[in-house]
Amino acid sequence: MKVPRTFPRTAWRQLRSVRAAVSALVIAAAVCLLGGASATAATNLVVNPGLETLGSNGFPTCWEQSGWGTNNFSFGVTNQAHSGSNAMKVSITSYTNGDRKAMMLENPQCAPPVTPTHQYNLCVWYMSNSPNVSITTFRHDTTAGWQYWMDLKTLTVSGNYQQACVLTPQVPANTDQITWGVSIYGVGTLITDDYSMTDNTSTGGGGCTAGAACTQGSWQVLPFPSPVRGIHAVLLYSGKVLLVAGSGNDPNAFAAGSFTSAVYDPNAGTFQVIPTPNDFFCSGHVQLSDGRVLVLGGNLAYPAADGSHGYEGLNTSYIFNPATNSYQKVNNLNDGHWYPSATELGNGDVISFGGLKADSSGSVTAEYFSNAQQQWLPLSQVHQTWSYWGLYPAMILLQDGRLFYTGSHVFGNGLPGTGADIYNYGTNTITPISGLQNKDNRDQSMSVLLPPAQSQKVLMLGGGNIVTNPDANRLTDLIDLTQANPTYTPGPLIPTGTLTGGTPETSTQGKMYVSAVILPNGQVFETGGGLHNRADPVYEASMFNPQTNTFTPGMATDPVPRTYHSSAFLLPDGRVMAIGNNPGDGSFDMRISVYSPPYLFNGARPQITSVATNQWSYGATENITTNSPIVSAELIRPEAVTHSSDPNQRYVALPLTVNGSNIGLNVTTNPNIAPPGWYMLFVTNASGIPSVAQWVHLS
Amino acid sequence: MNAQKILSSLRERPRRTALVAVAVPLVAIAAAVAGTTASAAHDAPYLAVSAKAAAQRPAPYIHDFARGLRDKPLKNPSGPHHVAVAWNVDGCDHDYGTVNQCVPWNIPAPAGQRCQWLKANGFGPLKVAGRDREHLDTNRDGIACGAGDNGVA
Repeated sequence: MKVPRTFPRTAWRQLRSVRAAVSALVIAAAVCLLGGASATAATNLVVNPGLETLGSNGFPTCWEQSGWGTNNFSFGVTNQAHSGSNAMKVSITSYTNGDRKAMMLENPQCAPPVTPTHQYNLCVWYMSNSPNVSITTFRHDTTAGWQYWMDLKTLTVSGNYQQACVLTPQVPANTDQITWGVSIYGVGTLITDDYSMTDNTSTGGGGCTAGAACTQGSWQVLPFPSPVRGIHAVLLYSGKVLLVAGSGNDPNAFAAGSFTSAVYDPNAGTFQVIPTPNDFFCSGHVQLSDGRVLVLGGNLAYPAADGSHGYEGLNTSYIFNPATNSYQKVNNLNDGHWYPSATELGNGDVISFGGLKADSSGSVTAEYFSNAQQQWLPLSQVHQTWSYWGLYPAMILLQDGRLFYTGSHVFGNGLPGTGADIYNYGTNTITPISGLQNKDNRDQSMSVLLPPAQSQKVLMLGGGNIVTNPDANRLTDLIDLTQANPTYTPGPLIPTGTLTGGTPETSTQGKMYVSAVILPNGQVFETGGGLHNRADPVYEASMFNPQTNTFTPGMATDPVPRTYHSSAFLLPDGRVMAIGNNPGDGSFDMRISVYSPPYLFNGARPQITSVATNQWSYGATENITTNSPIVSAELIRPEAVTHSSDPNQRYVALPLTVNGSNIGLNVTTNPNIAPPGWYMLFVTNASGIPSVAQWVHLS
Repeated sequence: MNAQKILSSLRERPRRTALVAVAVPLVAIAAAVAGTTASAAHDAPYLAVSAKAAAQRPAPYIHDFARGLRDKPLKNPSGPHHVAVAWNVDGCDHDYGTVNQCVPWNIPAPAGQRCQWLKANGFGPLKVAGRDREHLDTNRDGIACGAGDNGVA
């Protein structure tokens, strides 16, 4: 149905001579309504939604022809309309890359106005003979201007008109307008008509009676310790947690050949100690697409007392199977790696960089695990830059398959140059990225791909330098990787905390070995860390809001110090678990803390009452039901974290298509946004309260 | 017909437009009674779809983000090469204490207060296994920050 724009008052004044006719028109309209047509309850915010008004260029007013890349294309107006006379037609006849899309003009007259935190229901009637068609949105930031927002929904092939609808995420702060349209990014023809956009804002929530926990959350130290030094932690798709110590930074355990792991069940509060075949202390790890855990490298030797050699890296690799709670050996790496990175790629393969070789020198060998072959590829089959990436370099997968080295690392100085790069495996090139502050004091910083992953923004937090050992800093750096030439810009300072004994930090004191945990409400919980290497724990926690780029200070602090060899990660029930602390005196804190964020005190949680299938596909609309209204759904990848490093951590937004109590979740087409594997599916209501997660497998 | 067109038509031909405005819905109602719709009088819009396209899954939708990098790519080394890494890469001075302990390579306290800093961070007297870089064993009894050393209360 077309929803006419409101008549301006001046126009009415011009109609004195035709009032009789208008009266007749009103009567006719009433007849129409009685004849069965329905009125639209909400205002359609789209200008020229039916495309009936054409501009001097013959294209619908308030619409523009847009797109990029190498392809042959045409735009036009067709009489193959869903209603009225006009529809828009976009055809691509040959395609190498890019897209074409008819978009609403980015100006105050044409771009629909929006209100931050509101959600809008976008609908369009379409026909398409290409499967590569998506609803794409842009938003106008009152500070930064127009920018890409998100692809919301993939449209299925259809030779007849059908309507596609999707809810936007909640509009970010500082946004006053959006534009949207339908993109085609393959050979074919797309015809669209009768766009609508209505405010779909819902309210929810309840009062909180939990006192300070309402705004700060609360910590609980569990009454039982971990049986192993949880230096490495991996959340499994079973909902259990693999804690890996290896020798646990204990040379005596190493000398005794005593290597340990345990599987912790957060629901039962029980541990199962796992036979551990090698010293996985300082290994790399990542979940494979089937949910098993690939473990690579580790500790071949501790430094010799006489300084004749330093730490030495293992070249072995194993896979931990959550179904059997056992490790299975796979083929060896090409090089030894102590402190290697591990990033899953969009095709399910794993790439690894850095670390120390078996002779204690730095490894310049990139390693590549083929998911199809279930083995590490020989050196001759792996692109090599022969560059040294340092220790636990944070390599985040970007939407086009390139890797962003954020500058976060462990030990010593940052890499030479700018301290951050984009690596293109296909062209085997490393391109510097500028703007990172104080790159040589970002040792034991943490980087996180901010929610949602579609936004391609990264936050880097804190850090210090274990060699020069200054006070750790409060710096944060932000980068928007949707920009043509992205550069880091300074972010807000990490809030200050207190040191042991309650001494407040000074205005320049921050933290290293900090943890950053993505929560299902789209915020990032920042916790733990210390002022110096393996010393001076900082008691401070805050909440980072990626929409406003601000910290909310004063979250409840973990009563257990969490410095070196500590980790924090999200549990499927929406809480955050923290483990480990290995100060310089050689002790290890085996206590486990669990943080309940404020959202767990602010009302009833929505429940996912059914999931049509837990086997999900890219580009699909997956169906669920919930027991109460929700405003968002999201996939969160289970963490695999050590040394403040989990470059695979990500939150993938699932735009909603709502039809009564049935909710369609629109999954990205792009596996680089959500690499294949098991994810926690959360839904969140208007008060930001998440459900308990359900596990789904994306492939 | 959109709102602007209706207004324009009303201005130019008010009586005719009014007549059309009444007649069109009446025809529509008559058609509905007869079991057809007004739009059925025309061919329904249709777009030819191949069986192949109908069966295809959507390709990954990839954007041209970060494709205007102004810095030039670095020159890769020509081949594998040795990268020396200090044995104390962990920032610890293993000349002090047990194999499990980590006395910072640079203790973050002024000279004269380092034993106090170590004590505050859980260290007791430390055996000096090698060189006393930090001058913590001022009485040279082989025990750093032990009884009789400067700065030890």
